[in-house]
Order: sequence, then structure tokens, then C-alpha cells
Amino acid sequence: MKFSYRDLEKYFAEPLPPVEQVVEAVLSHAFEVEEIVPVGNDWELEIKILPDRAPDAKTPHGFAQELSALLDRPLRPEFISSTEADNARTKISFQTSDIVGLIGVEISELEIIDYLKRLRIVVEKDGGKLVALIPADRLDLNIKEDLADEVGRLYGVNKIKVVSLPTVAPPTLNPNFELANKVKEMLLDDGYSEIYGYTFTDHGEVEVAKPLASDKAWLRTNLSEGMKKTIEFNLQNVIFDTEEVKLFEIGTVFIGSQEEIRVAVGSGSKKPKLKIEVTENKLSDWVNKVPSRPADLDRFIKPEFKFESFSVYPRILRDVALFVPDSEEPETVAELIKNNAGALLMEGPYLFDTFAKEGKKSLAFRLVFQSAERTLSDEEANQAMNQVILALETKGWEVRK
Amino acid sequence: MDQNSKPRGHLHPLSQIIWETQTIFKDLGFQIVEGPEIETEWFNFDALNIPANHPARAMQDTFWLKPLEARKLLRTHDTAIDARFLTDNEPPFRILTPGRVFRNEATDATHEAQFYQIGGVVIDQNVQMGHLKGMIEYFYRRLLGDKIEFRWRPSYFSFVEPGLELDIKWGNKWLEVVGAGMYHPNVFKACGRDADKWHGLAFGSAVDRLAMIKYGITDIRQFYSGDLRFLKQF
Repeated sequence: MKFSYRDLEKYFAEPLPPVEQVVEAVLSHAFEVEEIVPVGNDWELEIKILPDRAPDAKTPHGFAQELSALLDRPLRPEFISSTEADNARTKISFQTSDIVGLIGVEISELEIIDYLKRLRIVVEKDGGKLVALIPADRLDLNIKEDLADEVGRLYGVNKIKVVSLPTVAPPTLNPNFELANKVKEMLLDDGYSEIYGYTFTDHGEVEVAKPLASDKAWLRTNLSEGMKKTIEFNLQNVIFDTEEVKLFEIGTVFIGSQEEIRVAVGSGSKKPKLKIEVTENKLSDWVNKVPSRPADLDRFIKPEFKFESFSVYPRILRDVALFVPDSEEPETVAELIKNNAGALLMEGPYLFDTFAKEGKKSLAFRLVFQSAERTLSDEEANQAMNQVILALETKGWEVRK
Repeated sequence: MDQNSKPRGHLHPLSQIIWETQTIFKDLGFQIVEGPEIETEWFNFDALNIPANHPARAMQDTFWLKPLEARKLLRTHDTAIDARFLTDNEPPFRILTPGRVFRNEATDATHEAQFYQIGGVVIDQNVQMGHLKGMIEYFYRRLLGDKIEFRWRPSYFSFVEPGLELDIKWGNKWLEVVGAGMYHPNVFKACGRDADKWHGLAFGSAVDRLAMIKYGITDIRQFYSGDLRFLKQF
């Protein structure tokens, strides 16, 4: 909802505090403030009225009433409505201990009554009980917990003192969760990386009533089909054709009215010949394959780091092979290549072949050129390679062509 | 390339967040509880005091399953797991409920139709909002480091009263990270427990969002791409 600061001010007996203070009060005690737009000597406030408060707080008058409670400042007399026994929408019977027990703040009966009064809630005493008379427009207030919410937010939820939970005995392990983690540990140690696939697919046994798209109308019956596609996709991105892609997934599949947790393990490579293999079992089939000690994934947790987005543009692979004296270290050569390959070198150089011949050493490196912003031309890769070759030849090394 | 040492695989970033979260909550005595991804209308909505006419129940927000008469759906939040557990187990208890949830919304860099939540609840006597705030702040400090600042705000969720939301300051921005509150008495009643006897400290967090914040990931869809160029960084 959008409200004008100046317009709201008209409801008040005195000028409002500065806009920053008003915004802070709304944010801390009532609603999110999405935007504050200066308009001349006014401000337009975009307020996200909570859904349960729509009936009373969506109009300028209604929101001014709320603001009056938050700031503890009176409205002009003509805008004040009072709640009495005969016009109360409902009555909520409560005790101070109900409020204190929920919000955990040692707050007196008098303070509670005062907070509620700011919200036009009149509190009457009825023997040992308190009775709150709820204004006609506050449809959201019906039970004592609602009153605790009102008192808590006017007091300030930020101010509520943080307390530690009482200590309890260590929890029992969840057998399924534990088993899944043990399986993960084994497969990770074996070089498999974990993927999370999509539940939605284009065929299956359980159908979604209103799918996002026609090829996402069913719930998967297996993990293997998705995994095969994922392996195929990843094979397009390998640097060397002999590289193996190794993946696993632990996830739910839907067969008839049954849900089943499965483990799929897959691998693939382009050479010596294209092969993609996936096996899939129930998670429960792994019970006897995992060690009995508790799962521990701590060593697979990456310490704090910043993720680097990778380029979506095609890459160009180039190889360079050369003879160097036997005494030359491959790392030194790689460093020289890297320093001369220019800014478009995304990965590498990777040393992939080496052999000795007549006191000399042959080294072969692969370089990956790629731009984060566009598709590279062959010409750009060629230019970069020419610089590399020039630098190597300047060293007196023989580049094999 | 060293051919002798076998390289280890990479644990998915969402699994990393779930593992770290359960480690922290285990220290607070929380037990892991899981539940079905196909849920009944009762546990997903009714038991959680979500009104029959609530927009979240509509076809454009929830994936209802065929046949519609069966009133089965893909759970829209992990709170459904809590309702099941509370129905089947006498409190007191502390549970953590990680799991995949579903929302019928168009996907973009910050929205996915499937994502992960990890929430939980403490059901006990003599616990109050200070405990709720305490356990959540403890968790975020351990997950994201001591330097973060907190800002609590009042909020509204059908199944809690009072309701809260927590923003954390990350870099120089306030980010909304968790919804929380004290269980609404109707939840206790629906699950067959005495609302006057128990308090429930409930919270829910989106795992994908935590991972995006923690690692600086800008596109939620990467979690489900299976792309090793992404996964290898973790």
C-alpha cells in the first residue's frame, strides 16, 4: 500500500516526527517498508501491510491509527474512535502471565494495559482476569496469543532478550538421513560428485493437475534418465576426451502411490569410446554396504569462499607441444605460457603429454580460451597462440608444428 | 595431472548447508525428521491453521495432483513434517525438518518450482520468544560468522502467533532469512495436543537462499543444473 507522509500527518494533532523515524517505527513494530520515494516536500511510503491487517490498516485513516499506536502520538479528536463494551467486536479474557509466558518479557499489568490502550483496546478487570475489548475493525484479534503479539511488537521484538534453550540429552540419529549421508561419504571418496535433479518430468505415474509446462506434468519414476542427460551435458564440457564424469544423486521417485528414496550412481566418458553408465537402487539397499561408524561429511564442507560465475559462451581449445632441454621444469614452461596467453585464457595450460627424446623433453599443453561476455572467434584464439609460440621460441625452444 | 591420487567428489552446496545446519542443531538437541514429498491437504494446510480460502491453497501456488478429489499435493513447506510429527509424538521434543518443497511459480534467477527448506520446532513448557530468538541467532552466527547483525520484525504466518521475521545484515544489505513464531493454539488442537500446556518455537528457512547468500550465487537454477562447472567449486 502506498501512503503519503503529509497525508498521514493530517490525521495527527501535531506534526509527525521526521520521515526516517516514522519508517523506523513502522519497520520495527508493524510492517515492512518497501520503498520511500521523496515527492517535493512529501514522501511516498510503500508499506507491505500484513495480510491479517488488511481489514483495518489499508486505508490512510486506518494506517494513521496504527501509526498513532506505534509512535504513541494522538490523532486529531475527530479521527479518534473509542472502544466500549457495547461496540466491541469481541472480548478476549487473559492474564498478565499469558502474555509474559509467551513473549518472555517481565512486563507489568499496567504496561500491558497501556500498550493495548494505544491500539484502542480497552482492558477491563473482571475478578482476577483481564478482559480486552477489541475494536470493531480489528478482525485479526481473537485469542490471547493475538494480544501477546500486539504487546510484543509494541514493546519491540528486537528488544526481547535472547535466552539459551535449556540443555537436553543428545538426539537420536535419524536412520534414513544417516544412511543417506554415509552413502554420500562413500561415493564422494570414490570421486563421484553430487547432483540434485528435477522432480518434474514429461512422463510418469503421478500427474500434476496444473503443471508449469507440458514437459513438467509428471513426477519422476527414476533418477537414471535425468542423470544420463546430465552426464551427456557435462561430457560436452570436459577438457580432455578421456576425462571421466562421475555423478550421484539421492532423491525421491514416485511410483504409483509410493514414494521411494533412490540412489543413482553414474559415470561417462567420450574416449576410448562413448559410454554412459548409470545404476540405480533403493537407498535401503545400501544398508549393508556402508560402514557402521556415524556419517561425517565435515571434510567435504568447503570453507568460506566466494562462488565465481562461469562463462556461458563457447570455449575454444588449443594445444601446444614443444621440445625443451631435459633440465627444464614443466611448471616453468606452463608459467611462461600462461603469462603470454592474454586475458582470454580461461583455464590451463594443462600438461597432458610428455616424453623424452635424445636428451630433450617433449611437453604438450592444452589451453582453454573463453570470454565471459561473448563468443570468441578462431582468429582471437590464433592471435593468443601466436603470442605464446613467439614467447616459447624466443626462449630458444622448438615448438612442434 | 596426477594419475595416482584419486580426486574426491564434490558435495552439493545444498547438502553442505543441510549438513552444517544439522550439525549446529544437533548440538542444541534437535533430532532430524523427514516426511513425504506428496502430502495431504490436512497436514500441509488444515492442521497448520491455514484457512480454506487462503490464496496459498490455490492451483496457481500449489501443485495439486491428479485426481483432484484425492486432495493430494506436493508439500509447499517443511512445516507439514512438523504437523505430522506432533500428531504422532507426545512432546516435549526438538526437531529439524530438512526437505524438498514445491511452489507453482514461474522460474527465474531467484525462483524455482522446487527448492529446499530446513525448519524446525521446539515443543516444550516454559519456553518463550526469547528462546526462539536465541536459538535462531545462535544458528546464524555459527553458520555465517559472528560479524552478522540481526533485525527482528513482526510478521504473520497462519500457524504462529506471535509471528516474527529475521533480517540479517550481509555486506551492507539487510536480507530476510527466516520466518518464525510461537505455534498457534489451533495447530496444537489440530494435532491432538493440549494448547494450554505446550508452547512451540517454530522457524523455517530456505536452504537455497542460505546457500546463495553464503556463497554469493546469483541464480537459484544452478543448484539443479547438475553442471560440474558449478559443482566443482564446492
